[in-house]
This record gives sequence, structure tokens and C-alpha cells, in this order.
Amino acid sequence: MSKVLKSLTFIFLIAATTLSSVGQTTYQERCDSVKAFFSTFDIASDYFILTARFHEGVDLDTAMSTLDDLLSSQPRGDAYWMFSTMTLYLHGSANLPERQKKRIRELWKTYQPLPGRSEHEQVLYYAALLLASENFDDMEQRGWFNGKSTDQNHAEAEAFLLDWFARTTEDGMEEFDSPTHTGFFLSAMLLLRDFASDRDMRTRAEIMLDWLLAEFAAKYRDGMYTGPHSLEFEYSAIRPRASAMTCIGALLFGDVELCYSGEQLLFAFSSYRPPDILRQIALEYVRPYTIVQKRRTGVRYRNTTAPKYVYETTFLTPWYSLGSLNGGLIQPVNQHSWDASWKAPIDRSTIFSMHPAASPELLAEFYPACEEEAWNTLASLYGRYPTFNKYVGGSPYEELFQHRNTLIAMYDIPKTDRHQLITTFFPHGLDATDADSTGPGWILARSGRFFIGVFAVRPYQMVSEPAGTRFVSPFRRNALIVQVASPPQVPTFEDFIKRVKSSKVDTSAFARKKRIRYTTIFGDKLEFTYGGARKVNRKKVRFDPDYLVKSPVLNSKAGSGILRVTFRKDTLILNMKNVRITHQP
Amino acid sequence: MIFTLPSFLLILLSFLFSSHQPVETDFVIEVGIIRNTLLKPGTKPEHLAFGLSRSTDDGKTWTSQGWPFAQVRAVLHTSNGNLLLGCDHGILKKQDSSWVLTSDWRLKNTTCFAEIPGAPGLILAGTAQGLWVSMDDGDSWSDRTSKLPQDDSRYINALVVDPTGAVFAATENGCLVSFDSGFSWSRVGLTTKRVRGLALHEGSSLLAAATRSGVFFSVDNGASWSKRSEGLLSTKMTCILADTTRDATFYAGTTDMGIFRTTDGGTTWTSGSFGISNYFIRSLYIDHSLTGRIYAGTDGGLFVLKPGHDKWETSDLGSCAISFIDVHPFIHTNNMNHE
Repeated sequence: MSKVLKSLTFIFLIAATTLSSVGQTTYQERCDSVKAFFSTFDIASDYFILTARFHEGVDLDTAMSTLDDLLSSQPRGDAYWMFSTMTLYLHGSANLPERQKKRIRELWKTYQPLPGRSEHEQVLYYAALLLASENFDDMEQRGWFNGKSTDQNHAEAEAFLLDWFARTTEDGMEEFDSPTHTGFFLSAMLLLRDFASDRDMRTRAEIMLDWLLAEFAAKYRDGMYTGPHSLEFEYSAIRPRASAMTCIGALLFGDVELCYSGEQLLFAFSSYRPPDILRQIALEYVRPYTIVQKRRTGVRYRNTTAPKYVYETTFLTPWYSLGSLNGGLIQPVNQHSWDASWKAPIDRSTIFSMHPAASPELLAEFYPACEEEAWNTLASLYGRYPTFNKYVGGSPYEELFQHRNTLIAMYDIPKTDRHQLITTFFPHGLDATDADSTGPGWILARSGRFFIGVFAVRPYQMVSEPAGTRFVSPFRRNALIVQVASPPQVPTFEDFIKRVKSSKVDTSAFARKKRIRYTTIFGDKLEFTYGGARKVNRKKVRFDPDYLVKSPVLNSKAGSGILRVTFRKDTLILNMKNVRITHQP
Repeated sequence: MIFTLPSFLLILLSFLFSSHQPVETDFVIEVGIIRNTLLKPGTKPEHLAFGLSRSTDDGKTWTSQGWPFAQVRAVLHTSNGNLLLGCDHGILKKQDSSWVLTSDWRLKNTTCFAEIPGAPGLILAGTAQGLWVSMDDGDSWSDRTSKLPQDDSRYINALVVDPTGAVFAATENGCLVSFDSGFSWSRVGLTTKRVRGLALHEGSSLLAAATRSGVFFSVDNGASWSKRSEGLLSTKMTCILADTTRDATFYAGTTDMGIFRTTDGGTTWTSGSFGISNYFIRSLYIDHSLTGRIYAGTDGGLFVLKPGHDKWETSDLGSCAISFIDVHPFIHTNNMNHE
């Protein structure tokens, strides 16, 4: 399960930039800036942040004294604690006194962390366990917190990691495309890549690192990890430049002002250099393209015969992105099913809709506890989950159909559901808007070079809130059509309005057959039936289960363990099965 | 006899002192705890737990055993004298004075254990994602999930072994039975029902199933089932207990309406929650041999129903969610108490 970030041992923050020359700094300069920022950071009572001081040799007396305090208090944080202490132990090694190293090893004997249920927690747990079993030489055979021997712990950690590498590269990732959590996977891979004793393990970690960053680069626009997300928090859903991945994007690609996040630290310490092809894809690809990806849903404990995969479609131009899942529940609490995001001077350059589903039964599909226990526990952990005005969460009553820069979202909410409405987030600061009162009809808006039209099939209300304007439509059977564009696709906003208003919207079969037909502003005829077919120009759309990812820039066949990353004539081949990274310029 | 004032005070003090000392009993109460809201206020709810707790003074004081933050959902004292804890993160086995996590990363969310009679060391562990088996009294585990149907039947809530060695499994998709110690399984009804508990009343050959949609009974080892829920004010059942000292008597726990009791094999049920302050019942246990008491583990503490009483008494642990209860003899040896 995901956790509230502030409770983690990692520190996440966005700080004022110290490097203002965007686009003119080198990767090394940005790494140096990250190290300088964290090694002088005032609040250093955190293993992860302290690592910067020990690594850089800055104010070691204070660092040692702060670490003494930390080491004398009761450990907490489970996998996060394990990973943080191993990061300090390994990256801070040169300046870490032997007595403090010994104390860390002692705590590893007595503190009994749990591996957690979430994919990222388990990866952190086993990465740390593998490295500890390779580095804690004086640990007695039965001295470990779990009663296992050094060899048993090493074997188990290795088995988990090899299984995870294979599953992720052959069958897909569970916590995919997360602006808030991808940083944990990257950190774990960086530590393994730099410190694992086995060469194959180091190479596999680097393959995984390149793989995750390639997926990020292909959907990176202007500091944002665009498209749908398996795992997202409200603050970053409505402020897409306020996540750890924004800071990592700024560090890797240098196109936006550098902000700081704990997840950058291991990049800054590492000799790893991201392949330049990733930066080129993120910043230099000018032709619009579509990425289609097969994604694993979260682990289901109940309703286990529900589909185990969803398909993600993301359309990108240099100016904007429109991305969506095809529908269904992949994670009840933190799912972000679709969004349009664009390059703009406003922070909250994103629009998305959702059905705020919430029930003990839906939770119990993804959590092993019984319905009431899941509800009681998670409702207190995620106070906003049961609310109707939340901005993240999945619904089984939502289906989406995307064709390039057009999306149709349909909802069929049962009478029994506690929230019989759909909601859409519009940010403040849109340059121009044009709405047909309270619908049904088009809501049209411009933000910089980005134009968006949202057709409300049912009546709605617009409610102004601090973060933006909330569209609320209180109907169980509901739908939206979303049309986006930017120059040169459509030269001006006026032209966009004209073309959208003259496009053909047919909702006559919606009430009875849950079917919508729409002719896009580029002339494609779309037809979508809830629970039925998706058609483009009368041809059925079929998702190809044999591909994990298909696009002009990323391609991977399911089961192959191979990702081909392409930019112009350059190719990077990541082969997890053969444990090989190949560049073909 | 003449008492001086100091000696009188001494006697009085020693009397007062001794009357407040916990009195050790001849039995041990063990409870599995999955949450303790008092342990660390402000920390994450799933971390508010303290594993296995034990009382040797009839519930007046409790000592935590095992991992401090483990969420214990099942406990097994094996016939070979070993102690196993079924936790969310795997299975712990007590070795000497410490605990060893004997399962690996694949085995999680343990819900129940069953020991096969006549086969010492052969133990089944049900989990939220399948079935595991140990042939060496819990030292190692092998995955037998593939023997189960590929649906919600892989979520096993309870395992019950009948005198012939047949193992019944309560699952999130009906009941299963195995006649070969878990090597193969077949369905025995209640398909599509989320079966949360099973109880066998050996005297009357009644098999009772507590489900998310009421209580069902079978008189033919699961071949057919009939719903018997008259008088139940809730159908959200969590567990069921057979009182084999009384004819056709069962207790059933719910998530929202406490405990119900039947004395006629489920034909009629009456509320039996007098004295219970938390109506989310997580576990029920009857101590046939030592005290004749019935214990109820709730989302807010442990309650005890003594023989001849109709009111449950609280047994502390009010901040804890009790997922498992066991009572067994406590042997005193030379003031160094151990079992």
C-alpha cells in the first residue's frame, strides 16, 4: 500500500531554485547542486539527508551528533528505514565512524521491519536486505532480525529481485508511471547498480533504471509525468509539477528550473549517466506520437477473475499530452485514470475527470483484510478516500476510449453506489473560456498554445475552489467528450472553437444503449459503447495483448524482457533476459 | 494471640498487597492481535499492533510475544510442541527464545492453520492468496496454491479438519474439501458465497458456514447446504463456533451486530451480546477442557462468557483488535513458570 509521503524516511520537498540558467547547465552541474543543497540542508535529522553530509564530508561533527541521536531512538519506517540506513552505510562509508556503522548493524539485528504490501516497499526492502547481507560481515548467522542466516537472507532477496525484474520487463509493472513513487524504484535500482557485489545484479539494476527512465522520458513534458497514473496523490494530481518526478526530470533533462527532492540524491552520488537518447526523446521529439501500453492491475485478493491488465494510451506533442487507461479498477485509492496536461506558465496545467467511487467492497478487492477492516483502517489512513470531492481514486464504473487527441469518458454508476456523480478538475488561470451555461454542451478553454473542449453530455454545475474550478454532474449514467489541440494542428483558439462547435456529436443512443458517436475536429468518426466496442471510422479498436509497449519511441513484446528505445536513427536495446544493454547509433 | 500495632500493619499491608497481585491460573490465554490503538498514537494504523499476547492471570495482565508489529491472524501449537504464528508478512516459528521467519517473500497474509491428525509435522497454512504446506512442523513451506480453483477460492479464511482427516476450507468463493491432506481439492457448495468461518459440531454432524450473506448448515458433509438465518439481525458474518458440550448449539459473530446464538442447529437465532461493547466480532473460542468458558475477540477487546452466565465480561485489551484466541494448560515449575 502507498503511504503519505511526509511519513516516509525519505524527504520530499520542492525548494527555491539555486540554478536559474535553465537549459544551460550540465547534468554534472545539476548533480553538484543537489549534493550541495542536501549537504547543507538545515533539517538533517533524517538518515537519507544525513547521507549527503557524510558523502560530501560537510559539517561532520554535527552530522555525527545528529546521527547518534537518530541511532539511539527506536527505529520506525520498515522498508524505508532499511533502505535509508543502507544508503547511509554505503554512500556515507568514507566518513562514517566505525562505531556508528556498528550501531547500524546492531539495529538491523533488533529492529524487525515488515516488508509491506506495496510493490515499491518490497523493492526497497529486498534491495536493502541484499546489500546488507553482502556488507554486514560480522553478522552472526542467526543474528538477523528475522532469525534467518546471512546466506538465507541473501538468497531470498536475490530471488525476489530477479523475479521482480522478470515480471516487470515481461509482464508489466503494478505501480506504473507514478509521479510520486517512481523515485523509490529508481533509488533502489541506483543503490543496487552501484553497490551489489554481483555483476549481473548491477547490470540488471541498470537495465531496470534505463527502462523506467525511458518510460518516464517518453511521457515527460515540461516538468510533468503526464498521462494516467497507477499511484498518485491529490496534491500532485492537481499540481502536476509538484511531485518527486518533476525534480528528477529537472535533474535529468535540465529543461525546467531545478527543484529538490530526496529521490534525486542517489542520482547525484552515482556514477550512472542516463543515456542521452532519453533526454532527446523527452525534449527533442517534435512529431506527435501515441504510446499504447499493457499494464498490470494491482494484486486482487477478491474478484480475482476481473481483468488483470489494462491498456494505457497516451498521445503526445511537444506542447501537450492526453493520456488514459481504457477503464476499470486498477487501484481504488490512488488511481488517476486520465488527464490532459500541457506546457504552460501555470502550475496546474491539467484537466481530468473521475467518478469518486468508495466502498468497503472495492477496497477489499485490493486489500486482504475483510471489507469493514479495510474500510476502517484505510479511511483513517487516507481520510479523503470516502469523500465525494476527492481528486484521486479508481472506479469500476468508468470506461475510457482515446483516439489520438480525443477522448470519450463514460460512466454507468449503480444506484447502490454512495457517490452518484462525476467530477472534473479545471485549473484556475485559463486564458479564455467559453461554456454553454450548465450544459449539456461544450466547455472550451485555452491556456497558452493549448486548446481544450469538454462536451458535457448531461447537465452540470461549476464550483469555484481554491485549487481550481470543479465541474460536478450528478447523474449516474454520464459521459464527457474531450477534444484537445494546439497550433499548428489548429491555428487559433477561435478556429478551434469554430471547428469544435461544428463537429458532430451524437448522443441519441446514450440513454438507452450507452453509446456515443463523435466526429473529431480532424474528421475521424468515433463510436463508443459502454461495456462494448470502440470504433474508429467503423473499424473496431483492439488492444494487442502481445505488446507491453508500442510506439515510435518505445517497443517491447510481452514476455520478451526486451525494450527497444528509438530516437531518429539511434537505438538503445535493454535486454533483461540476456542481461545486456546495447547502443546502436 | 496479641498483635502489636506494627505487626498488624504489616499483616494488613501484606494482605492488601497480595489482594492486588495477579493470581496465576492453571491456564494460559493467548490472543493474536492485529491492531492496538494505544501502542503508538499517531503512527500508521497498520503498525498499531503487538503480535501475540499471553496472560497467565486470567486476563489481568498481558505480555507481548513475537514480533512487536506483526499482525497475527493465526496461532498453532503443533502436536510436536512447536509454536507457529501466522502473520501478514509470513509465518514465524519459535526456536529457543527467538522467532524465525520460516516462510519466504512469496508467502504472505496468513489467515489460518490446520494440522493433519495422525501425521505429525504435516501442517497446512491458508493465506489470502492460496495454500501452503509444511512437512517439517513449520520449518519450511511449499506452495500448493495451484491445487485450488483459479478464482476467489484461493483466499482461504478458515480450515477445519474432521475426525476422518477430511479438511474443509472456507474460502471467498465457497467451501472446498480435501481428502488427501491438501494435495487435491474439490468444491462442496456455497459457490459465490464469501465463507468467513466454518464449524463442525461433531455430536450432531452439523457443519456450519458463516458467510457474508448469513449462516448456512449442512448435514451431509457439505454435499448440500441450507440457509438458516432466522433471527440474525445481520448477515455480515465473520466467524462461527460450535459448542459441542450442548446439542446443536452454535455462536456466530458479525461485523456490526455482535454475537448470535442458536440451540437448535440454526433454525432460530437470538442475540447473545449482553455485556459486549464492541459489535465487530473477529474471533470466537470455547475452552472445553479447562474452564468451559467462551471467549470473543472483538475489534475493541476480549470478552469472556463464563459457564452459567448470560453476560459477557470484559477482559481488558480494549484498545486491541483480537483476531485469534487460544487457551491451554499452564504448568508451574519451581517458580520458573513455563509451559
